[in-house]
Amino acid sequence: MNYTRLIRNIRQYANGWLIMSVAAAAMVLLPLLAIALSIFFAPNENWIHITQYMVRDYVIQSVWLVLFTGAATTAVGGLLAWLIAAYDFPLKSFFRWALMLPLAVPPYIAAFTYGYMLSYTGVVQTTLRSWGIEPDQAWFDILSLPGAVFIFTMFLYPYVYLITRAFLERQCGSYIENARLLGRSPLSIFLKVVLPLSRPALAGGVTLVAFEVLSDYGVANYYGIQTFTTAIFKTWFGMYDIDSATRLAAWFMLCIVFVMLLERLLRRRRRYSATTGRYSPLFPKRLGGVSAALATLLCSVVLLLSFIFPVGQLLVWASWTFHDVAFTANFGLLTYNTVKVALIATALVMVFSVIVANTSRMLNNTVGIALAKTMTIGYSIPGAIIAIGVLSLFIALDRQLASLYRSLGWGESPLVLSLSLFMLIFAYVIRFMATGYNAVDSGFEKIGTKFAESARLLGLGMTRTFFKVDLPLIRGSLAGGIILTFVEVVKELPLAMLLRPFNFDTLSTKAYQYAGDERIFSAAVPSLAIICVSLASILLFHQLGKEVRS
Amino acid sequence: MSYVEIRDLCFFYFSAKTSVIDNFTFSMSKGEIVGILGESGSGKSTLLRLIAGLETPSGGRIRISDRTVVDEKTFVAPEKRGVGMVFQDYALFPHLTVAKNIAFGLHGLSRSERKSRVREMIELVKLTGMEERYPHELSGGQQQRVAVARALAPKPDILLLDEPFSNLDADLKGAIREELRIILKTAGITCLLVSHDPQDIEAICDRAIRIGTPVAR
Repeated sequence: MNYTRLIRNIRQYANGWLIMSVAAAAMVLLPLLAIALSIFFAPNENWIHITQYMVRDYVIQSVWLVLFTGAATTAVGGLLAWLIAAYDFPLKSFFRWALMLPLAVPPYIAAFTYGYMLSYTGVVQTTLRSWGIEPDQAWFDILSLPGAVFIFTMFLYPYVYLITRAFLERQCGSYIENARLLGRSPLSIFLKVVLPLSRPALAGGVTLVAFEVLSDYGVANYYGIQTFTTAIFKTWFGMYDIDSATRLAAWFMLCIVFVMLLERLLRRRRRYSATTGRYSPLFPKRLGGVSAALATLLCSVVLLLSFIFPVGQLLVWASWTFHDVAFTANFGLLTYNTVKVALIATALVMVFSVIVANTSRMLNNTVGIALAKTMTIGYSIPGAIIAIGVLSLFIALDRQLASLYRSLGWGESPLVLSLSLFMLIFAYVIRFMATGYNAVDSGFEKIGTKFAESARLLGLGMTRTFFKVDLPLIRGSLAGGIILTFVEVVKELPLAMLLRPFNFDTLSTKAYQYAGDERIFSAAVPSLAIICVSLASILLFHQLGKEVRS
Repeated sequence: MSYVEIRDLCFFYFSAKTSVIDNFTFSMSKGEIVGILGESGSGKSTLLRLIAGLETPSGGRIRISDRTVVDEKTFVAPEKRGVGMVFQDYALFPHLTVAKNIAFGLHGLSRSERKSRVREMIELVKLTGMEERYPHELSGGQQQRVAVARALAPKPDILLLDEPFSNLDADLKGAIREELRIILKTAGITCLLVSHDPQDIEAICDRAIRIGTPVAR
């Protein structure tokens, strides 16, 4: 490409949209770069201790946790998706949507709820004792690795279930019907046809589960499991050694990048063309007698364990403490804080998502793809890492701005930005950009570029085209993105724990604090508040999806 | 002097080995209706997109009405080219009525001018009484006429038509071709039409050229 062409191309593409998009991408990347750079500085003496005594166990525990949870969610989510998609049995249409409800319960809330329910004074053991049964304590030891796997599986399987069910219901009818006509038994169809075909959908769901598990702090910490995220917390708050915490985060991030590259590499060779988007619905088959009863029973057991028991228990506890917790000024403040932070973060996420998604599709080249990829990177980076990156960035910024603060008379090198609420919001925006971005992007994908192109040819610039044509057409997707992002922020725990300003609490941090201080009953009210918000959003989103389809 | 002049136009995708358009040279005079005939994949839609400014050529230049719109140094954005285009599936804005679709490109005019131009266009394409309908409430032929009216309303220098009949039933094609020819002639517009069907071009165009791999006769 010669020089005149280059100048022409720059003039052609350099507009406000591109500049803002590049700025947004830089904003996402800077904290991650700040972490990556830390590898190049000399480690301190703590680091030697950490590598010698901590890292190995932490890595192993993290890996086991992810592997076991991945396998268990695949089994539970995949099986339920297949049952619901391929068969008809009593209460099926109820279970079809009810089985996604556990998404409304953040795993850390489920963790302490189950932890107490199964303890010596919890409802399970007291009931058994009242029947005269003296059970062995070892049976109820949920505060362990298997316990954590149980919690993650029960409250994260909907990711696998929803993606796989949508795929099975819409896209593989012809394959399965063919297999039935060829005389295969249901079991052999499941093993030989359904599982291999839905591998991309299962993998998509399990990837989301893995990100959630890696990012988790609440469950692992409460159950005393040592994971990479808890290691970062310990180094930060236990040793007050931010340098080492950053270094840990850097290695952790490298591992994740490595695993993601490996996965890409492995998948490249065999692509499953099943997701061509061709619509081929599966018509469910009626089950009778014992098999129908078994199907209903299985769905009931999962729903009881993953939603009804824990939420019921929380409701009981909340009824005991409602007056002491809910009617205080403090609780009002918590709710206000949570909603305020979530609203600001969601607004920012949506604005940046819209800007970058629109730029990316208009560029329609490698730069556009790179921008899109950068914006969604935050979802695959655990919260604790993002927290450290944002903190390092803000401390560096404060150092740079020290002279400005001095001239404003704020004293010698104070920490202004890094003690402000802005830092937490910034981290939320990076972490949950993908949620908003994917919603906006799928909206754009649905309408295609032809409307925007017609508007351009009718003399409207990119900005006016966006407001007059694109925005009205992607309204539905935008609403979906807003709901999902808002809920993610409300539920979030590790970022809020690490980055909140002094004396600033949200519903999630307060619930977790109560639980940590053995005030489980008090934790019930803020927990239920979070679950209510999530439930409302899930139902709203569900409704929105129905309207869009009809 | 030609009204539209295309010289040595090239276009290829970075990933592809062969070029979609290779050293294409062509000119047309004012008021002419020219048809471009080609098989699918011969790059005829790409040619329209290059003229409209929706794609950037890999080489060559395009002049419209004595103004260079793209060459090595220049790139005029699509909204500033004065090119009207009717897309294959019309791309009528689903959230706007017929009248609002037609008025969409008239944002530079005053309210009364806009109103009279919309009325003029509605009469030209014979859609009186349909102003307040939404695109999905129209037949395929009516949608096409709205798309033509919308593209003509801002008085472009040239109108591009991309496979204008591919979405219509075969038995309606004859009548609709004739209607379109009358509309275009009445408007006196310079028009470039692309199709894979020689009959389309015969019915409407003054002159035809063929691009892509030549088909043996």
